[in-house]
Order: sequence, then C-alpha cells, then structure tokens
Amino acid sequence: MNALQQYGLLLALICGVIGLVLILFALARAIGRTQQEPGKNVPATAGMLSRDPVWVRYHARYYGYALLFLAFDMEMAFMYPWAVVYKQTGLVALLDMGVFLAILFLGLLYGWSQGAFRRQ
Amino acid sequence: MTVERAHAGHARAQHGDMPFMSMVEVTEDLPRSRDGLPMEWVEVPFGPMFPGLPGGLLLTLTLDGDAVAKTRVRSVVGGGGVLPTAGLSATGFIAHLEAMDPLAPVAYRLLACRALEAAAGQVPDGEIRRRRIAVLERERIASHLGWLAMLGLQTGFAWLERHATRMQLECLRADLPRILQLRSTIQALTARLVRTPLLRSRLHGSGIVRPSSDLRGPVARAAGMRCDARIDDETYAALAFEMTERQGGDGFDRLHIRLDEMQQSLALIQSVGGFAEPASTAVGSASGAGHASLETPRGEAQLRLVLESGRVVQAQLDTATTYHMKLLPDLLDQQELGDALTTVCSLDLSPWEVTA
Amino acid sequence: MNTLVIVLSLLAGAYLVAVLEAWLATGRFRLAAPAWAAVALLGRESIVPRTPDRIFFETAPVLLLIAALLAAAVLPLSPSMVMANLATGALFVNAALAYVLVALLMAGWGSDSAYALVGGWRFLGQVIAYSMLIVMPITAVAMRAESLLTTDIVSSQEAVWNILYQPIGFVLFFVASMAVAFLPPFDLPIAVGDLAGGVEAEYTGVRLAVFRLGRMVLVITLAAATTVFYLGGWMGPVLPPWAWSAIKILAVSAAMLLGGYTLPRIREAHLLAWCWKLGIPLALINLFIVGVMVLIWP
Repeated sequence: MNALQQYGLLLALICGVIGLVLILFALARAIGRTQQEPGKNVPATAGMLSRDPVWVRYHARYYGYALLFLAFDMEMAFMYPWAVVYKQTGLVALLDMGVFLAILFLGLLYGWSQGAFRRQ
Repeated sequence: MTVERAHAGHARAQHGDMPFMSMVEVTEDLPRSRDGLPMEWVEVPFGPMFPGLPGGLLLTLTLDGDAVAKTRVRSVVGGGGVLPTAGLSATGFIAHLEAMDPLAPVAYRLLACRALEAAAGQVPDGEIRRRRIAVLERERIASHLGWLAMLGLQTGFAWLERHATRMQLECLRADLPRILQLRSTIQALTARLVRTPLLRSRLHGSGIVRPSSDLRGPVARAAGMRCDARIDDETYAALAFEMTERQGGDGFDRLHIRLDEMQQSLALIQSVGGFAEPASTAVGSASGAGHASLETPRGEAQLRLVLESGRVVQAQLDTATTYHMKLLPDLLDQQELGDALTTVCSLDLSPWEVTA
Repeated sequence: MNTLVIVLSLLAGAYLVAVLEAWLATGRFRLAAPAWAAVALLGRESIVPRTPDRIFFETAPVLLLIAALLAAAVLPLSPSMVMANLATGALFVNAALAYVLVALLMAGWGSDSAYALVGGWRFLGQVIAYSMLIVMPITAVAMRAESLLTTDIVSSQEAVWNILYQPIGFVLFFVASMAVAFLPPFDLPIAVGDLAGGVEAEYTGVRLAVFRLGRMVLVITLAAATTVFYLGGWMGPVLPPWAWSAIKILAVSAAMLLGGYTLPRIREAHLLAWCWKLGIPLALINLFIVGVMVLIWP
C-alpha cells in the first residue's frame, strides 16, 4: 500500500465509524422514540430544575501552565524529525538538542520560580 | 463610565456594520475573581440528590471557573425534630425521634429514652445502660463505615466504596460474635487506608477547621478539642473510655479520628459483652422536664423535653449537623470544586438531623 | 479484509475491557454484562438537553470513537496485521489522540450544563498536564528505532524491550495513558462524586452507548500503544505474533483498570503540579539517558 492508499483507508475508517453510529441510532429509534415530556430536557442538576445558562467566560485556573505548555508543544514539533535522524547524526545531534532543551528547561525553571506552576 | 461607553459607541460607529467588542465594555460589570480577572460566575445546585453528597443536602455553589466563590447550604429534609402541637405519647415520641434521622436511628432512639427517663425520674439498671451503650457503639461503627463508603464514592475510590458498604451491612446485622470478628477486618482497612497513595494528598490540608464552639464530635476532636459527651458519662468512665484526639483539623485528621473510633467502639462492645436495644419507657402519667445528651456518630446531640401527664408537649433538640452546616460558606470559599465537595463529605453531615 | 479483522479484534478487546470494568464495579464476573448494558442503553431514550450546541453535542461521542480507532489504525498487532503502516506512525498516534481533548471539550460545551462544562474544561487542564508525558517518551522510543514506523519500533526491541531499555519512559507513558483515557484516578472529566458524571452527564441512551464504546476502544488503543512502544509488540516465544499482542494488550489494559480501582481521584492542582515539576524533568532526563545509550549500546 502506498501512502495515498493508506490515507484513503483511514478516511474509509472514519466513514465506517460514522456509518456504524448511524446504524446504532437507527436501531435505537426502531426500538422506541424519545417521548416529549415537560421538564425532561433540563440539564442534569441533581434534583433542582431551575438553572442559569452556563456558556460564560470560564476562569481556567491553569493558565500559567497553559502558557508554558505552548512553548513545549512547539518544541515537540522539532523533536520528531530530530529523533529519526538522531543515531546517524550522532553526538552532534545530542549536543544540538541538548542546548535547545537546556534553554527550554531554564524557561521551565524560570516559570516555576515566578509562580506559573500553581492554581492561579 | 459614560465617557468609556461613548468612546466604545464611537468605535462601533467607525467600523460601520462590524460589531466591535470592546473588552473593557464587555467585562466592566463582571465580578472580579481573586486574581483580579473579570469572569462570569454561574450558580450551580449540588444536591439534594447528588452522588457525592449526603442525600437531602442542597448545596448551591456559585462557581468562578471551577472554584467556589459563594456557598449557600440548606437541608431539604431537616426539621424532623418538630413535634405535633397536640404532643406525643412516650412511645410515639421515641418512634418519632428514631424515624427523624435514618442515618442514626439508634442514637436518637436512645436519646429520647434517656430524656424521657430523666423527665420521669427513672434510672435504668446499670447493665441495661451498659448494653445500650454497646448498641450505640455498634451504630457508630456502622455510621463511620457508611461515611467511608460515601468518601469512597465522592473521591472515586471504588475499592473503598464497595468494601466499606459491605462491611457496613455486615455490621448493621451483626450479633456479638460476628461484630468482634469484624475487628481484624477493620484493622486491615485502617492499615490499608493509611498507606493508600493519593488519599493523603487528597485529604491533607482540605477543609481545615480551627477549634470553635461550633464544632462537635469527630470534627471537633480532629481539631484538637476535648469535645465528647462520652467523657462525662459514668457508664463510659466505668468502661475505661479514653477520648481520641488529633491536632490538624483537616480532612485527613477526621479520617484518622473515625478510623480510631471504630477500633475504640469495638473495644467498648467487647468489654460490655451484650446488646440491649433501647426499649420504650413506661413513663405512666408522670410530669416533669428532662434533659439528656449523647454522643451520636456525628457529635453531641442534646434533647430537652417537657412531659405532661405522660405526653411529651415540648421538645428541643440540638444536633451536630446544625452547627457544621454553618461552617460551610467560609470553609469552601475559593476551594476547587472537587476539594470543596470532599471537604463537605469529610464533615459527615446528616441533613436529616438539622433542626432549624 | 485485514482492516476488518483488526477492527473486529479491537472491538472484541474493548468488550473484554468493558467486562473487566463491570467486574470491578459490581464485584461479579459476568461475560454478558456489557452486552446487556448496551442493549439497555439502546432501548433507553436518548434525550437532548433543551439548549444544546447541537453540532458539538452530536459530534463529541462519534469523534471520541474515531480518535481512538484512528490511533489504533497505525498500531501493528503482528508484522502484517496493521491497517495503515504510515511513515509518520508514532506521530500519527499523537495527532489522533489530540482529538480526545476536542471530543471531550465539545461534549462539555455542547450540552450547556454546568457539570459537563466544568468537566470539559477540567480535561483541558488534564491534557496540559499529561500531554508532554506522552510525546517526550515516544520521541525517546523513536530515537532508538530511528524511525516513526510503528513496525520498525517493534523490531528495534528485538534485543531488549523498551520497558527495560527506558524504564522511566515506560512509567511516564503508562501513567499518562491512563490520563488520556480518563481512567481512575484521572477520571476528572467524568467524575461521579464531583460532577455527577461530568461530560457524560447529559448523554443518555444510544449517544451514551457510543461515548462508552469510544472510551473502551480508547483504553484498548492506549494499551496497544504501550505494547508496541515498550513491550516488544508481537514478539514472544512459541505463540503466534497476534496472540502475544492480544495477551500483552489485555494485560496492560487490565493493569490500567486495576490501578485506578484501588486509588482515590487525584486533585487537578496536584496532577498539574506533579506532571510539570516531576514528570517533565524526568521525561527530559529519560531523553538524555536514551540519547547516550543509543550512541553507545543500541
């Protein structure tokens, strides 16, 4: 199989899953349909009916981590190709990436010292 | 402010049809979190039928992200201690109080019996008193096991939930030989929980309470208070009862106190050597006022009643949960949601016994 | 044909995982339990909350299943049993697993319910915690194999399995895998005691069935990934390769489930702190050690 066929296969897999899900939905519908009754479609709130809408500005308290995460995630994009050619490039590759990671790690330590690694 | 608004309106006009969202304008009326960020808060009910909380407890949390910004708490099943105006016969009163709290029926039954006896001026036989204590202590073990199961459910500790539930059922049905066999199981459970990774970090430092007059029972004892109705009781003194105590006042200390108390209760049962369910008292047509206090699994409960020609016409109950519920708003403030619910769970509230 | 066999065996594996999970939850071993549960879910009403983001709400369970299956598509069960042996295999596993986050966020947002919403955002925090502990150990594995092809990764472990060659990486990857599949003690987004089901709370009936199926397949996929990256994949004496794969995958998924059974849920703040203050330094040390070892003793 060449690469194109492989991706074709993956696409077919996605379509297959969607097909399977549709079949399940049809099966469930054949067994019985949902009754429309008042109060049934209120989101779960452990016994109380009234509730506010919740699509709000959400306070994610891990934003300190999230900022550092961006830096590390970018770094990973370089790591994969480097990993593949690592052995044939040898010690130089280790030093190259070592310097790069050391700088990144210093950034981690700096963030840590500035209190990025806590619940804000 | 009007200037800002006008400015924002101007900006909007400049962009023609394109809606311009000024961050200043959008966020100016929003509540500020502790770190100064303007965020929207939502009010979310937890309970009265929430899986990780005692049934009947309605906790309304205002969430700022996943942290608790405001807490309102109320019991939707409490107030069961209120008497019908016509009064109740002694038997009826005992049954009424027993049915009030399904989480600790024996303790309240015993409390009612004691108060009635005090009002009628009766003193039960010493052996009966000792055997009643054994029943109360058996309920304490069962109640603490039930609390452990709840803690297991709340913290997603499936093993604890299943194991403690099974042990609790066993304990509720157990006669003397069976319950003494539980000893090794409870010891093993204690040893295991103390060693469980993550449990300590989950409970340590969560919901720290400082000694105050609002604390009762295991919660108070975990905070280093000498607060136990049993230390003043002669029957307990005769059984060489020693109070357990810890200093930290956090969830982990409360776990330790309850684990220790189960062992202690087993020892008490063993030295009594028999059970006697608190039976209804024949008060005849006595009149008088009576007062009794007793250490329920959740802390000291006090009962004052007035007996008029054999009928209870007035009763006043004072329970631990009533006080502990008041702690919640301060205790939960700014805690992460999961931590907050674990804190509530670690207080072992019984919404049924809330009197107000 | 090959693809069909693999998909069916994955589903069979997911079924066994469900059996094991039901066994742990109820204490009774019943082989038919998941089948009955599935039938019951299909027969139940599937209610849509009153103001949903319909697209998000409907897509989330399907996307979870797709993400899990796509990741599994590049993992070999034997030298020939692999759906798509992409040249970017190890990277592709990562890319597919990233959609688990998307699915859960969609499920959390889509139903306009507070419990679900908090669950969804919680999982974003969880991703920030575990994500580096998935990619960095995989990089170390690729360094030894000199390739991202998953079959090459297995063959590179001919002499000694990666679990012995890079044990730190294995431990990190295993723990992070449990977090990817939000298995206890990392079940923050679907916590019952904290959020009454969290992102799952609004799903009922057939939609919940699809969600659960997706999660079971995800567990199997991650066990398969652990097997391929660290446990020598199909390698083993006497038995045929596919049998070794099956044994290892089931053993790993059983270990994942059992580990969570005996532990309380981790606090999110601790998860983030431990992953960044301990996990990432360890992952970097692992990279360095493997880097040196690859040069002197491949």
